[in-house]
Amino acid sequence: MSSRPSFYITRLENWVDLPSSLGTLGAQILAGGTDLVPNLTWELASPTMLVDVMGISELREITIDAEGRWVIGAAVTLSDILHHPVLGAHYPMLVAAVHAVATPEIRAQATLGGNLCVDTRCRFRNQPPIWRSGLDPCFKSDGNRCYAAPKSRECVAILSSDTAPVLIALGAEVAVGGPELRWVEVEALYSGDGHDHLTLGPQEFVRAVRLPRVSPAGVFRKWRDRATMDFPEVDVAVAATLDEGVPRDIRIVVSAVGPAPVRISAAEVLLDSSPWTDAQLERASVMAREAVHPYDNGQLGVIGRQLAVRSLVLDALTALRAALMETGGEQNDLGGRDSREKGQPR
Amino acid sequence: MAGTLLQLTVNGHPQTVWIQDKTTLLEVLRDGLGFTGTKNGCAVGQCGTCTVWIDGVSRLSCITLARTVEGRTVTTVEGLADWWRERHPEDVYHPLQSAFVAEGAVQCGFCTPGMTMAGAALLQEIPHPDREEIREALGGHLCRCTGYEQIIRAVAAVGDRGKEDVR
Repeated sequence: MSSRPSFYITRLENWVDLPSSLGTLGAQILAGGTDLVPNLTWELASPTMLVDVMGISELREITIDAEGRWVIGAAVTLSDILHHPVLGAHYPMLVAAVHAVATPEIRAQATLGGNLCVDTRCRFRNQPPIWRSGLDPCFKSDGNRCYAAPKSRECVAILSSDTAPVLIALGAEVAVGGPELRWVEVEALYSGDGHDHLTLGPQEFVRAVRLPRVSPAGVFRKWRDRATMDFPEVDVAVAATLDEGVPRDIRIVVSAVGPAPVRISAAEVLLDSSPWTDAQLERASVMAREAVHPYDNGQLGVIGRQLAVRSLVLDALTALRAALMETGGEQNDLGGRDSREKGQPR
Repeated sequence: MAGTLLQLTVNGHPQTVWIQDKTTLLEVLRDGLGFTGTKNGCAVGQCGTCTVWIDGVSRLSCITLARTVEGRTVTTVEGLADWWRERHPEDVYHPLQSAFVAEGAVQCGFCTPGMTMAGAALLQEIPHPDREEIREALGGHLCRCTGYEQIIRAVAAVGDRGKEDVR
């Protein structure tokens, strides 16, 4: 029997009751539990009450709102998304990311909201208790040091959500439930501090994810040790919409290199204003590598992950360019905003 | 200690067990009910040997809190042959169990309960899986004897029977 700390489980059937339950000291949401239960077993979490939300039917629905946008409840399982008859055809990049999460058994249990909120990880913390007993507590364990980044003043543990970068690239929004409902961009869900990595208030929770009515073209790439099961060492999601042959709304997101996904704004601006030549895609990938600073807290080392960022961004952008050209680009290289505005051939 | 009575069906038989809220399904099966065929490998969802079916779906019992399976139907490796015989009274074992023996897919045997439950679940869903589908379905299962090839062959052999769907 594990030395898992004791807690109560409260099962809810109406989300209206959720804020007050979460207001209880030491309360935490239990959805699929695929991340939480291992953390309990390894004594990495010590809630006094778990609020089981899997009985709340509103959180388990995939619907289309009045404006034709898909809304996925936070407690919809990842395998429900994979098995949905229509969703995959509209949002192939989301399905690719969901399919890249863990294993079939875990996807049958894990939820979309849980994947977005999954606790940050670090190789100096996500270890059995006896392993950790040799180290003084780090920031994430309420201590005052970071083993991965000794000069850091805050926790740099990694966000391992595969769906987060994709939903950011898609421009999806999250319904944050609580005393008041608010809609935020997925990007705004993350604080950047690995210790307390979500911006949710104490009584707030992720209620649903709303996808844009029309999905931009997108490509997702995940780099990990093994081809299955593993958490990401680097995730990359890129997306763009073709407007009269010119890519617009370009989003380049790199994740699993820190406590929050990173938008590579400089590369987005570059590709918004210039043709998508091989050289420009290469420049964008270098910008991505320079914009992220992974620490030695994953499984595959700092240099490897830096190189992977560049390689994955280049690969993803090249694939995105091919996809865009298939749907409407006319020439070998897609034109940027400048070329169109100046009347140059694309 | 938060405790409660848990009712569930295991391998076709109703069971009532006194549990704490922090108890996992794996602990109920092994320590409470004696179904030690289901193995405790890593206890944190990384190895797959604790795989059981919950309402027919392959799941990891070590990361499933027992309270969350109240009233549900659980099938462990001990119940796999019975489950198969209900549908095919002429057989003694699930064909995948026989194939594991025929293909030499068992060495130390520790991963076998999880591998068979996951493989049998796959054959339910896809009666004639190709190699990629088998690798995908068994992706969460570690075999430290590294006998993966024989295990994949065993699942493929059942899928290749062709006579009838393995349902």
